Amino acid sequence: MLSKKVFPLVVILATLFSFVPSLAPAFAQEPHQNPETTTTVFSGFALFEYYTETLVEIIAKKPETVNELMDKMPFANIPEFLSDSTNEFMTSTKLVADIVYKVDSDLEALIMLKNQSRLEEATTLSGEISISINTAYTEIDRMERVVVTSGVYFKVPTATAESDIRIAYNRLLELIQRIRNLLDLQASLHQNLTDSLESLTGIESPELTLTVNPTTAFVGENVIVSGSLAYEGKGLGNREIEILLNNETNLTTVTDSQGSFITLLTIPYLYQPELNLQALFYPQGTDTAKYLAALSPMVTIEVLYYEAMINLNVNNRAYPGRELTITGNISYKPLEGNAIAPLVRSIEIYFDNELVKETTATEGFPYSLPLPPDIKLGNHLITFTVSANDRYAPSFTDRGIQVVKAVPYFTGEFPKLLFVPGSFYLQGQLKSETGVLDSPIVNIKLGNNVYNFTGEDNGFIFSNNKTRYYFSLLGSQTLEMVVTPTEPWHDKMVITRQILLINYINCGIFFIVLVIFAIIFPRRFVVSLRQMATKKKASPTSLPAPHAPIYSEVITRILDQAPASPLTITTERLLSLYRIVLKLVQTLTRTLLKPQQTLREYAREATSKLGPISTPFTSFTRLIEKTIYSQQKVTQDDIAEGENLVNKIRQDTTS
Amino acid sequence: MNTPKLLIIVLAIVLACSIISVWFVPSSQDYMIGNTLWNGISNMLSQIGGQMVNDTATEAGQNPAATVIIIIPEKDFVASEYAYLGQFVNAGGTLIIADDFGFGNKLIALFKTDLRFNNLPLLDPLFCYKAPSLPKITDFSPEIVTQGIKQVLLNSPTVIDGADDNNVLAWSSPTSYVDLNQNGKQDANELPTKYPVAVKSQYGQGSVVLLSDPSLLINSMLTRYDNVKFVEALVNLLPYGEKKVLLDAATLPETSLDTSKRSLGEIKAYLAEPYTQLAALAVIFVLTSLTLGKVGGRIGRKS
Repeated sequence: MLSKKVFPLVVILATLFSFVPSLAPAFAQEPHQNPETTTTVFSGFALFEYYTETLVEIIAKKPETVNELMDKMPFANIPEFLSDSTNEFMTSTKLVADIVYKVDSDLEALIMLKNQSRLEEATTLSGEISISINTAYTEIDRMERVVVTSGVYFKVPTATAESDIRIAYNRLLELIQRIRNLLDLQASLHQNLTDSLESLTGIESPELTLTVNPTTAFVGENVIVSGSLAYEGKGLGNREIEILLNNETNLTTVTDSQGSFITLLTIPYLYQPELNLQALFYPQGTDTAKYLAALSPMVTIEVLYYEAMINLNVNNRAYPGRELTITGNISYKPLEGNAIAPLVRSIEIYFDNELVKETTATEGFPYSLPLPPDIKLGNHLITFTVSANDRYAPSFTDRGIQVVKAVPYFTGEFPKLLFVPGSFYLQGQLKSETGVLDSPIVNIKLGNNVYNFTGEDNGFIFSNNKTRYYFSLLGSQTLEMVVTPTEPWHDKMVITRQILLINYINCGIFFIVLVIFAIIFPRRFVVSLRQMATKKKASPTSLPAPHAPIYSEVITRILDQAPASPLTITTERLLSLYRIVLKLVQTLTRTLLKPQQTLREYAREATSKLGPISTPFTSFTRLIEKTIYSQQKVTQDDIAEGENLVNKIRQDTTS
Repeated sequence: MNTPKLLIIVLAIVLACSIISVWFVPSSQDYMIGNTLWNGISNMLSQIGGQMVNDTATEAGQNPAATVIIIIPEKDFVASEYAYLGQFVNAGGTLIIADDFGFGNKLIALFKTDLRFNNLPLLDPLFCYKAPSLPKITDFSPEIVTQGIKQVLLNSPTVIDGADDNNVLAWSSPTSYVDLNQNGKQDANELPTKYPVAVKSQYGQGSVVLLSDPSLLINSMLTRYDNVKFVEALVNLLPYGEKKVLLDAATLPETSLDTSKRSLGEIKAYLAEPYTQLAALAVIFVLTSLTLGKVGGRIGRKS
C-alpha cells in the first residue's frame, strides 16, 4: 500500500518521465548551422586577396576577367559600412581595366596614324588617349582610398607586420602602385608619340577628291569610284590610293600620271541601307617627308536590296512526340523596276538555336517538325530564317512555344452509390485537346477492389466492374481512376471520386448481431422489472435470494428442534416459547417473517401493529437473540423472564 | 488506494502523456520529414513534389526515366542493398546523392566513376552568408544558368573530387578553400580556388548527380536565394515530363521520437482500417451492453 502523500509524487514524476524522451533530441547537438542564429563574420584578408586577384588581371590586360570578378562583388559578405566604398572600388576597377586595355590599342593606332602621316586623325586620337589616361589616374586614386578606408575598418594599421591581413593589404597597395606605374608607362609612350607628331607640322597634305557614280545601287552591282590627288594644283601621279568602305580598306588603286584614279567597286552583300566611302592617300617612300596623308570627303552610297517579310504561324502549344506544324508565307516590300521575287528561297528552321530543318520554299510554306517524345516540357524557341539570295536580304523571325502534355478528360459518369457485393458500369470516352486516347491503360481502385483494363483505340471504355465482398459496413469510399496513355503527348490522368458504399451483407449480419445483443444483455433488466411486478402483488411466497441469509429458516429450524413437551430448563424451552409467540404475532399482524429479515427487523416491523404487546414481544425478541447469538449460557433467570413475557403476551392478547 | 490500482493509473498517465508528447512535440532530428524546425526537411518534399519512402528499390523499377531518387547517406548502410541503383540509373533514372561528411562514397563506388566526396569542410570567407561555413555559390554551368539561377547558399558543405570541368554543374567562388586541418581558419597550405560542389555523371541512359551539401534541403536553407530552383533543376536534369521524386528514408538517422512518431502514425493508419473500426465498434457495443445489463439488474434491488 502506498500512502496518499507518495501517490501525487509518483504521478508527477511519471508524467515528467513520459515527456523527457520527446524533449531530449531538441537539445542534441546539430551538425549544421542555423543560418538565422549564425554570428556574422567579415574577413578583411579575403576581401583584400580578392581585390588583389582582380588587379592582377588589370595588369594582365584582361578587362573581361576583371569585369567578371567584380560583377560577383554584390554577392560578397561585406560590412554595411563598406558597402558604398566597395561599389566605388568595383566601378573604378572595371573602368581602369577597360582604359588600360584601350589605351594600349589606341597607342598602336596612333603609331599607325603617325607612320601614315595622318596628322589630323592622330591629333584627335592623341587627345582621346590623354583624357583616358587622366581618367585612369583619378580612378586609381579612388581605388587606393577605398583600400585605405577598408584597411582602417579591418584595423590594419594596428595589425602586426607579419599578420595575414597586413601582408594582404600591403600587397594590394603595391599592386595599385604597379597599375599606376603601368599607366605612367603608357602616358610616357603617348607623350613620345604626341611629341613625334610635331615633326609633321609644317608639312601640308595634298588634296584628294572622290566621286561615286551612281550613289544608289543594288547589292552586287558595281559603282564607279573616281577622284584625283593633287598638290598645289598639280596632280600627283602613280600614287597608291586606298578606298575605305565604312573606315575599312576595301580596295586599292593607283593614280595615273595626271593624279586621277578610277575604279569599279562592287557593293558588298552586307544588306546595309548605307555605305560610307572615303579615299585615303598616305605618303610612302620619298613622299614621306614631303606630304601629309590626305583623306577625301565622305560619300554615302544608298544601298538597295529586297527585304523579305516572314509571316509565321506556329501554334503556341506543342506536344512531345507530335508534329509541330509551322505554316506561313514570305512576302516582299514593293519591288522596284522589273524585278520579281525569287521562286525559291533557302529556309532554315532552328529549334532552341539548333538547326533542325534545312529546305527551300516559295511564297507559302507548311512544315511539320516532329518533336521528340522525351522533349523537356516548358518554353522553347522556334527560329525561322530565310537565307540571302543575291538582291534579296536574309530575314528571320522567331516564335516562342510551350511544350506541354495534353491533359485527358473522361466523358462518362461515375456512380454515386454502390452496393457490396455488386457491380458498377463505367462507360465513356477518354479525350484530350489533341484528340482521343488510343488504347489507354485504365486502373481503377475502389477500396480493396482493383480493376485493370485497356480502352478501345478510339478512347472508349466499357467496363463492368464487380465489387467484391469485403469486411465493411457502409460509408464513403474513394474511387481512384488512373489513366495511363500510350501516347507520349498525353499526360497521366488521375480522377478521384467519393462514392457511398453499402455492404448489405455485413449490414444485415450486423443488424442481426445487434438484435441478439439487444435481447440477451437486457435480460437482467427484464428480470428486475418482473421482480418489481411480483412485489406489487404482495404474495406471501417469494423466491428466496440465493445468497441472502434466511433468518426465518434458522429460527424455524431451532424452534422445530425444540421439544414439544414443556418445562425442561434448556435453550430449547425458550425457543419453543418464541415459536409459539411468533406464530401468534404473525397471525395477529398478518406479517410474515421474510427470508432476509432478522428477528429484530421483524419485531420492529410488527411492533406498529401489535399495540400493547409490542413491548413484551420486543423484549422477548432480544432475549431470543441473546440465546441464539451470544456465547453466554441460558440461565434460570432467562427462562423465568421468558415465561413471564410469554404470559404477559398471552394475558394482553386474551384481554 | 492499493498498489495494483496505483500502478494502473500511473501507467495510464505515462502512456497518455507519451502519446501526447510524441504527437505534438516536433522532431528535431536532422533531415526528418516530421521535423518542422530549421534543420528538418518537412518543406522540401512539398516544394518539389516528392515523397519519403523506406523502400526505394520497389518504386525504382516502375518507370526509371520518370523517377528521381534522392539519397542523403547520413547513416551507414550495406552497399549491396543499394545495388539496384546501378540498374535504375542505367535504365534512365536520376540519382541524386547529397552528402557532405556521410557515407556517400560507398554509393558512388557502385558506379564506375572517379568522383568522390572530399569529406572535408569547404569554407568561403568572402562569398558567404554571415560566416565562411555558409558559402554562396554563384558560378554555374550553362544548363543551370538558363534556369534563372544566380546564387545558391550552402551550409557546411564539402567538395567533390575527380570532377571533369564539363560535368560540373556548380563551383564555389575563387576565395573558397578546403579546411584541411578543420581548424576553421585559412592556413598557408589551404589555397583558395574554385571547387566543384555539384557534379553530374552519365551512367547508361541515366544520370548520377552529386551534391556536396545535403543541408541545402533543410527548411532554413531551401527558401534562401535560388535554392529551390537549383534543386528543381537537379531533379529535371534529364528531359522527361513530370518526375516522381523519392527521398530514401533508410539512410537517414532516426531518434526514438521519430521512431515513436512513425509507429504512432502506423497505429493511426491501422485504426483507420474498416476491420479494426468494426472490431472496435463491436467491443464498444459489448461493453456498453454489459454495463447496461448490470445497471438494469441493480434497478430492481434498489427499489
